[in-house]
Amino acid sequence: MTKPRPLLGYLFVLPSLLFFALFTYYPVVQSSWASLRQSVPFQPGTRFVGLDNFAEMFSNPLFHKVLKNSLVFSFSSVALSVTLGLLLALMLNRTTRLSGFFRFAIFYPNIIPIVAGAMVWVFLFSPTFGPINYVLGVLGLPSGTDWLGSTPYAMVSIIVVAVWKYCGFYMLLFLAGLQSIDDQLYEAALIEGATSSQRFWNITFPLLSPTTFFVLLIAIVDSFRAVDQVFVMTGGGPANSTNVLLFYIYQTGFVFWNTGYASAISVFLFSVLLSMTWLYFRLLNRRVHYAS
Amino acid sequence: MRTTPNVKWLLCLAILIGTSFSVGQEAPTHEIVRFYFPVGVAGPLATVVGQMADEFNKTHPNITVEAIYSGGYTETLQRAVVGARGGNPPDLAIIRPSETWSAIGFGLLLSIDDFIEAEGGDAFLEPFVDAFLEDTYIRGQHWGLPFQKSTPILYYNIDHFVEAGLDPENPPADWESLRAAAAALTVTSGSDVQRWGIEMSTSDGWLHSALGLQQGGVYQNLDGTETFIDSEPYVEALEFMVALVRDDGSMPASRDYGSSAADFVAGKTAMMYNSPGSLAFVAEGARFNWAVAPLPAGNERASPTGGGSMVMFAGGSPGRKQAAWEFMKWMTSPEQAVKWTVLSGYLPFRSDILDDAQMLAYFEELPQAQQALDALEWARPRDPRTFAAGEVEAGTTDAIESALAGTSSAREALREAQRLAERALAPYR
Repeated sequence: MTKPRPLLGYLFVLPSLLFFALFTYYPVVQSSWASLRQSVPFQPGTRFVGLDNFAEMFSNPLFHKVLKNSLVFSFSSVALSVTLGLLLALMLNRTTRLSGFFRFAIFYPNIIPIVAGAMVWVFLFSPTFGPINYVLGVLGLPSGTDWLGSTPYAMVSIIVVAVWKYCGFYMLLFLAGLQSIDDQLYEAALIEGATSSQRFWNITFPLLSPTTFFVLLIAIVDSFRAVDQVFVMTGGGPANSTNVLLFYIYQTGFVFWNTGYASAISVFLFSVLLSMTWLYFRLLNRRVHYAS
Repeated sequence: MRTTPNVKWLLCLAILIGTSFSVGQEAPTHEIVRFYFPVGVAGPLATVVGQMADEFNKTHPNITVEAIYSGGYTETLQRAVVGARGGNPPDLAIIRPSETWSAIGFGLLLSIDDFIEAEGGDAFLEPFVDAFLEDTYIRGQHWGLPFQKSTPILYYNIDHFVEAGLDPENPPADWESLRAAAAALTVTSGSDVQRWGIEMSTSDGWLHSALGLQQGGVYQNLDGTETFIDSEPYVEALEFMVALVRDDGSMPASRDYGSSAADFVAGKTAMMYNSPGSLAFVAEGARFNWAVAPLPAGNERASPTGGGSMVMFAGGSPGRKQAAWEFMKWMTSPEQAVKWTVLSGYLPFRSDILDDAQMLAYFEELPQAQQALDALEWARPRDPRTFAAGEVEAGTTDAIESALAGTSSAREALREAQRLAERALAPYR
């Protein structure tokens, strides 16, 4: 047996470590530092203000509204896109002549840039010449809705776009999960006379749970990172009804130029996502069934 | 391979010429000026600014201007501020007047008073349109010169006016008649609106501020540290918008400048308040007769300026700043002002170019561009003229949106905007 060579191991991880250090760890440290500072009027520099920015954050009613919006957006878009992803995966798990086409069609939104996709949705949602209102009108339904310009439809619209964008990706992950389940289990269940819902709840669902947990984790993280469609479609409006955390950080930092305050919110968001990830990995290790 | 003596001589000659040229170019007096500019309206304008910079470079061998197209106004300021904070500021940029306040608040700009003084002071400034100049006259100093400037105007569809029995020769001149005309021009079928009477963009505070000024409103103190957003004139302005949207149903609750212009061209709205920046778009798309007029009066006529001014950033040698000034002066000279106005559709920012032959030919071709000039008579600098202007205006925009959506009264919404503004301005007091 050869001697272990730790140096070689470090060399292998060095490239990704370098990237992480440069684009993740360094910015985290930098924004933590910036979150304790504030700019000085009429001067280019900043001064130390302790936890003032965090105090401002928790006392600012707009922050509370944004936080609530983020939770509504995350909960709805995760619940809808993960459920839809699972249903689509179950439907498309069998190989038929058209399943390849459907898989591709449903996954497709995931590979086009969300900004381009969102622009198309702006057109679809247009109150005066958008196809959505046109179709509603043809069906005799109310067709005057200003989808992106009124509450609560603006939030509904950006959730629709998030579901459209992500459910295909989750479907793909679920498909991979489904295909790793041993067919013999289903054959045995069939011989025992299990109904299709029994097969789903007793075989598919438990054995799919590692995938489900993984999908839920990335879905939640993705939902907090969603900002592109807000930027393109509503700009956080009307009256901040679609202003979510990441957009609020952008707005505070690069439109209002309150860098210290924006950094404080970033640190908050970072901590939330970090603890969520930590929690999930703990649960993952404990509860989830693994097929062996 | 053998080189013939001829080729060798030629090579020597080429090297000699090459070195002499580069020596000429790198003379110690040569300055590089970096200039960030946005294009608010349409893409082709980016090439126009680029061409103007090229021409300047050809006629000024000692200066090289690098004209850098940087997206919209917001992106241009982002680029400039991030650059300046990283120790790499541009020398010149075109930004909105409200952003000029912000940039001064960050200590990033250089006043151009000394340069103006050296050019003859007031005599140099005299030809510029007053309200445009006033946009960047902040705390007793000049910080910029106007460049891509506008003021909102009323666009109206003459065919719709005739159809509704209104006189297209006499467009609404006050709020009362505007409201009546909008109601008469609205066409509904069931609960759906087929054609709006009027559209106003709600994506920023510009048009609300126009209505407020028309009621005699004062948005802020001269120092830009205190706002009066919930004062009576601004409440009345917002209540007027609410009346159009919620009482009369003659105006949609939410539009931006682009979608309004598209609706107007498509005949989906009979009138709109919009920037003259949309003149070219409407001229190209409209298949009907149309005209423009100054905004109708409230208690008085008033029209806030819009668009961007050229400002100078601090940092760099005096020679470099002098070179930047040369470019600023050249871009705002009568000759370039004519060229820019004709090609861009923005309003002329100098009053001494209106009789220019090229300008007259332009007015001949697009009479609406000349009609738009009438609005300049009542032009006033654009609000908010405060520090933290981005945040102050965002609060007002939110107030407009929630009042028009009916989620709160005009007064309550503006009170909230006032509270937000006070919060944002606290560090500057």
